[in-house]
Formats: sequence, structure tokens, C-alpha cells
Amino acid sequence: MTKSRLAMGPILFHWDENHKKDFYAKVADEIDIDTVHVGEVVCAKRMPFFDKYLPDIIERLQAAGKEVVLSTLALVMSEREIAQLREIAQMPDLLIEANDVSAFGLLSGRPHMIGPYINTYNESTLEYFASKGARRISLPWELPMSSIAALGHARKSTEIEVQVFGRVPLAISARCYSARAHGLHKDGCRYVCGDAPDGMDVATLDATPFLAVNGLQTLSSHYIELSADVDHLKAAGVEVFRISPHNLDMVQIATLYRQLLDTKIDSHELRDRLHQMQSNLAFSDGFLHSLPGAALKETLGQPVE
Amino acid sequence: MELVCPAGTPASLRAAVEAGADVVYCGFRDATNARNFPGLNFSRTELAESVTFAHKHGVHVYLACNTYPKAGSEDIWHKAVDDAVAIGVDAVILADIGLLRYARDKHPDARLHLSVQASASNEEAIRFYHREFGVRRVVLPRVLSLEEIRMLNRRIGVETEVFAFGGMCVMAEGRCSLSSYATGESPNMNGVCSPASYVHYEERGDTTVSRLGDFTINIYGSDEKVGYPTLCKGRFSAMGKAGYLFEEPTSLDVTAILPELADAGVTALKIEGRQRGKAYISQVVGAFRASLDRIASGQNGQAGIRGNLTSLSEGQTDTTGAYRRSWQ
Amino acid sequence: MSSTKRPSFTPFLLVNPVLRNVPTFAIERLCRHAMTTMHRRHKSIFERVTEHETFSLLISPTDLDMDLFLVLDPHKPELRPAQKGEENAVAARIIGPLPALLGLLEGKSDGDALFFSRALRIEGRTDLVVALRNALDGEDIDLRSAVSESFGVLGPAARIALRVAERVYQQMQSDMNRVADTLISPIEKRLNGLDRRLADQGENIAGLEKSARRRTPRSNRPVSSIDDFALPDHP
Repeated sequence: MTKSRLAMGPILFHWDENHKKDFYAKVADEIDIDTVHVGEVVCAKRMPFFDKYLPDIIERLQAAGKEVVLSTLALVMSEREIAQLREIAQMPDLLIEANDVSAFGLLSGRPHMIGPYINTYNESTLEYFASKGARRISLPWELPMSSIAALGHARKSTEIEVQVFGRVPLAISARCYSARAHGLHKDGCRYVCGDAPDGMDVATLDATPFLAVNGLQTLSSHYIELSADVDHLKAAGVEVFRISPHNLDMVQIATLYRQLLDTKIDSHELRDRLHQMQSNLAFSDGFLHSLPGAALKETLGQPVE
Repeated sequence: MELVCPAGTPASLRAAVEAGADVVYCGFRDATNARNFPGLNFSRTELAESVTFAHKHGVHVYLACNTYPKAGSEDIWHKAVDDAVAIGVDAVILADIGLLRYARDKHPDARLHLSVQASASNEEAIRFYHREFGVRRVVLPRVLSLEEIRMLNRRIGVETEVFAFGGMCVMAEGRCSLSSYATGESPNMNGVCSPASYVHYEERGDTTVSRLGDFTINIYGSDEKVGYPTLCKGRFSAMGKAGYLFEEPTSLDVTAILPELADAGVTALKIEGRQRGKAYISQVVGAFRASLDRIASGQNGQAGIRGNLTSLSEGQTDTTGAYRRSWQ
Repeated sequence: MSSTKRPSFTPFLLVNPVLRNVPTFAIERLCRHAMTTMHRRHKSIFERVTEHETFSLLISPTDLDMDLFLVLDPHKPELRPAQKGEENAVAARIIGPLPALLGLLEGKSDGDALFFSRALRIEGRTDLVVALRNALDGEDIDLRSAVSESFGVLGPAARIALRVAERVYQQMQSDMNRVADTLISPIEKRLNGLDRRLADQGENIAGLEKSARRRTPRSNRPVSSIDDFALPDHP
């Protein structure tokens, strides 16, 4: 088995430029991580704020020995967004993550990977992407263990990636719900999504935490946490483990998962340490176990598979 | 514009044909289609008989096989495509890339349509499906504005089909796991959204609480109009406010903008609602047939039919959705 | 499943005094006969709906003083007046006015639309009710021909009687609607006046309310009809 690798997903939230620059500086200098994603995935309107810093950040991360992946938009609708994709497809020396089929169509023939926003649910689809040169496939979040295992078995040289930490993107829309919650339309949104660095908390009318809104994107309120199943995932052929950035001490979180992958700590210790950092984090792993995604198998009192 | 109508049962298919459908779309009774509801959909025999009936009346039949095949069980989806082609449907509606490739290789002459569940929302994505799998028509996701649709039709050489009436996904279709987050079952994998088996109503004082799995989706008064207990049409609280954060219970109705859709180069109009009954199908299909005929004869398509469809809508209200940019 | 049903204003309300004096065995026999006919004519409904399990339902017409107990079984379906306490023995309960329920049976009214308008309510296992609705909708059920068939050689006479009854029924429904309007409209007028005055007052205190709302915990506010997120359609 090849050595498991750790990847930092793209920043999903509209952090201000200093927050982002600070984050990538720490990732470059302080984290033992193999891969770092950059680029805007959620909303094209946010791009102008940070695009100008990207070349320097990519260079700095590469100089620090990280593999840099440029993630692209998940929902592509306008001519301008297509034009941006065409430009990105011309960028040299960079692995590009397609998150919409449009990007995939432009990328064949150059180094690329398939992101989790593209529906890879079965062997035929995986084989198709592999035949077109996809180097890595990051699987959709709702896949159960049985599907991941079947895909791990079917893959040849293509690497399989699974997200093991962070809120789960559940949906994307043309409508901006951050703006709507503030009584605004998307065209005059005033970038209010920037007010919520981990997404805007959405609860049921019975005050149960449920979702987190991030502009066009709706995420889970729970943080996916798959440390208890990392060994199964490794055995199933998963080579890359993604953690998704939050407004938490990501240096420490990345270190914990690095230690977990290297079997220096176990799942219990990892969860204890996460709770020490942030006591109110609610974890879930339901998707993996064919349960409601919000569920945490451990708390159901059933033995772990 | 071609009128494409839903049917969840052979009886509904007959109702759609009689009400003036150009095309009826339906699915097999299993997880291969995105309306996998209890007691609904067609057996192989029922589909064969229905296709014969429709063809006799000059009406086409499309088969939706538009969920994402489960790893390890792809043969169920392959069989569905094979059977549909053998039965002689006029097009197969697909979403999954692996399945599209299978259908293209195995049945090079079959007419393939791209399901809305593939969420092809732009020129490059549509080009990709056309180039790679010979897709002849794309059902456009309900996220595009009229202007965006017009631009697309100018640039792509593929027919477009748009939603005209019925339930509205506010999220990009085929890319939504809200249902499986609450229930474990999703449109992509199971062909269901917010499935009825996870829905519970409970009376609380003079209000009714609707719950999906462990989550409260809405609390409403006894005379309030309601919609399906789908997640994205529920009331939630955020920032100290409460209400329909994603979308009110409402249905799409494009009657008011039919001439604009025709002008934008749209080939076909799709009525949503394979889960609805014969009564709904007769009424909606009949109304759209009348509007399209009026437009074809140079009259105002809207005249005289407004109002009688609203009672069929969720929350008894309707919207033109994303077709008007202000919706976003 | 404890909610009470509120009466619907349909001609069936007028049947209640009669119904109360009909001996139970007669109603039971009528129900049994209806179910036997239904089972004979539309066997596939029972097979389709019980594909996964057999179950029972409570049908609660809001215009009758009586609930019906329905057992869905592919071979031995059963329909009879419900007894007290049986609401706990069923998988689900369907509550609505009889005309709507009959329309649903014949596929003439749209169950979802009735549900959206709150004319129809469901308690318990929603999936089973949906399955039944779908199975019924897949068949072409004609109550008229079913009834006339039941009368054997007297069928043609029964058909005529039924047509007369239906016409009388429709006339009664429109009369009753008129009566209801007459009773309600003065009240409605007064309410509208009150509404207008309230609206004027409301504007004055809207600002106050907004600041109060910020300090009031969510659960203390009445929930129904709330939509703080509604946006004007055109910005």
C-alpha cells in the first residue's frame, strides 16, 4: 500500500484577503501536508477579491514542497465564467480540479483531477474519467462505504480521494441564500456571506442545528469526521484524505490527521483533541454508513463495521 | 414547442395522451428513475403496452433512467436502457456519464437526451455531452434565466427542453444531498427526495408540525396553504429570523412567458409531476395544449387559462422561478 | 393520532341524523358489499399497494359522524365502521370531506392539490397513504358503474336513481355554499374592516416590533404564517 496522503481542500467561505493570506502562509510553513487546493469553488463574484494574490500563493506553496491544485467553480452559468475556465485550462505546471463537467471538457490533455462536485458514483464513470487522463478523483460526499470500496477496486492508476473532516457541501443554487437571509438579491449582495467564516448557522424551528449557508452553497451543520474509518478507507484503496478548511486552528487539525494517517494516534484521541480545541463541534459520518448523513454511527450504539 | 408530459402510471399516460401531449415521459418501477415512489411507475409489460397506445395516437414516449447507477449494481441500469430500447421508446433520458457511455456504445442508434439531473448549465458542459455521447437534447437545469437560455440556444447545436410547470428544485439538480443528509436516501442514488416514509406530521396545539427524519421541516397553522414536505421548501431559522430561507412552497408556471421561451429557441416544454394523479395531468396538459395552440395561431397564449392551475400548485402559488433573474 | 376532525360543510352533514339511526349491521353489510365489489373489479390495486406489507387505515370523513376502518390485504381486504380506540391500531389516518375522498377514489381530484389546500390531512405513515393514492390513480375506477352493477337486474333503474341523486346532491351543495356565504359574509366584512384598521396600526408599531423581535426568543413567537425571508419579486 502506498503512503496515505493528506490534502487541504479549497477555502469554501468568503474570508477576507488577509485571513486567506495568513491561512496559506501557515499551510506553506507550518503544516506537514502533501496537497493544497486554492481557487474559488462557490461564487464567481468573490473571485476578483483574491485572484490577484493567487500566483504568489501558488509559488510559495510549491516552493514549500506542496502539490498545488487549482479548484474551479462548482456551478458554471455565465459566458464570463466559461471564459475564466478557458484561461485556467491554459495555466502551466498546475493540477486543475474540475468541479463541473464544463471544466472537465476543457481539461482533457492536461494534468487534471475530478472534484467531489462531479458525480462519480460507479465504476463506468470512474473508468471513463480515467480513460481521459484524470489523475485523481475526489468522491462525492454522499457515497456509502460499499460504493467507495467498489470504486477503489475498479481504479487502476487513478487515485481516489475522500473528505474526512469539515462541513459537507450538500447543495448549490443559482440563488444566494446569504443575501436572501439579509433581505438582499444576489445582484446586490454586498458580499454578506463574508460575515460568516464557517457559514451562516441554520436551525430548524425547534432550534435543532441543521445546515450552514455559504452564499450559493448549503453545507451541513455537522462536521464530517471519518477518523474511525480511515483504516477501512485505506484498505478500500483510498490514497488521499481531504480536510476542508474552517475558521479553526487548521495547523493543529492537519497535524492530528497526519498523525492518524501515520497511525501515531487513534480515532478516539483525535476526537478528544478536536473537542478540546472546540467543544461544540458536532460530528457526523452517516453517509459512509448508509445512514442519514447527519448521523454519527458511534452514537447509535452499533458496532463499527 | 413540443409538450412533454409526465406519467406515473399507464392511466396517467392515457390521460396525458388524451389531453394533448406531444410526448409522455415515464420510468421503470425501481431505483433507475428519479421518481421512485411507492406504487408508481411502469413494469416492462406496462411500458410496452403504453408505447403501443401512444404511438397509435401519434404521441412519443421517453423513458427516464436518470439516477446515478450504484457501484457494483450497474447492470440494473444497463438492463433498463436495453429494455427501453427494445420496447421502442423514442428517447432515453440519462444523467450518469458511465451510463451515457454504455448506452452510446451498446445502442448507437438510440436517441439520447440529457436529464436535468446532469445539471448541464452551460455551453461547455452541453458541448461535452454532445461530443462524447451524441446527446441530441438537453433538459436544462432550473437555475438558468431566460436570457442565459437564449444565449445558450444561439451557441449550441443541441435541442433544449425546459421546465414549464410543477415542482421546482431551487438547488442545482443532481448535485443535492439535502435529502440524504436528513434521511439517507437521495435523488441521485435512490430516485427520491424527502421520501414519504421519513415524513411525519404531528399536531402541536393548533399547529401542525411536519418532520423529515429527525428534523422539523415546518410548523404551520391549520388554514395555511402548504407544499410537499421537501427540505428546501421548509421553514428554518437563521440570524434571529424565521421563514422560508430557500424557497416558499410554490410551483413553477411559465404560462406568462411562453412566447418569450419560444423566441429564446427552446425546443420542448416539460411538465413536472410523474408523482401526481390523472386529474393533475389532464388539467395541466390540457391548459398548456390550449395555450400553445393559441400561440401557434397568433393569439395571446395566456388568455383565459390563468387561475385554474394555481390550485394545483404547492402552497397554491406559482412563480416563474429562475427564468426571471430577480428570483436569484 | 389524536387530532379531532372539524366538520366540512357538505350535503353529507345532513345524512348524519339518518346515519345515527341506521342499525350498525346494515352499515357493516353495505361496507362489506362495497369492498367485495371493489376487490372483484380492481384486484390489482390491492396487489400493488400491498407489495411490501399489508396494513390498515382509518378513513375519517369530516362530514360524517363515522370513521371507516380499512384493511388493505391482497386477498382479504376489509371495510367497516371504526370502533372507538381503533385510531391507535392503524398505520395511518386520512381526514377530509367525503366528496373529496370519493373524487380521489375515482381519480377525478388531485390528492396533492387537496393536501396543499389543507382539505385533506394525513396522520401516521405518509408513505402508505401515498402508495394507496398512486395505486388508486393507476386504475380507472367508475363508482357509477360499480353501483349499478351491484343492483344486478335493477342496474338500469339504479343508474337513473343515481343520476337523480347526484343532481340533487350538486344542487344541495350549491345551496349550502350560498347559506354558508350568507352566514359568513357579514362577519367577513367586519373582519376586513378590522384588518384594515389593524394594518394602519401595524405600520406604526412595525419598527417597535422589529427591535422587540430581536430580543424575543424564537420559541415564544407564534410560528404560523411567518416568513421573514420573503423578498419582493423585483428589486
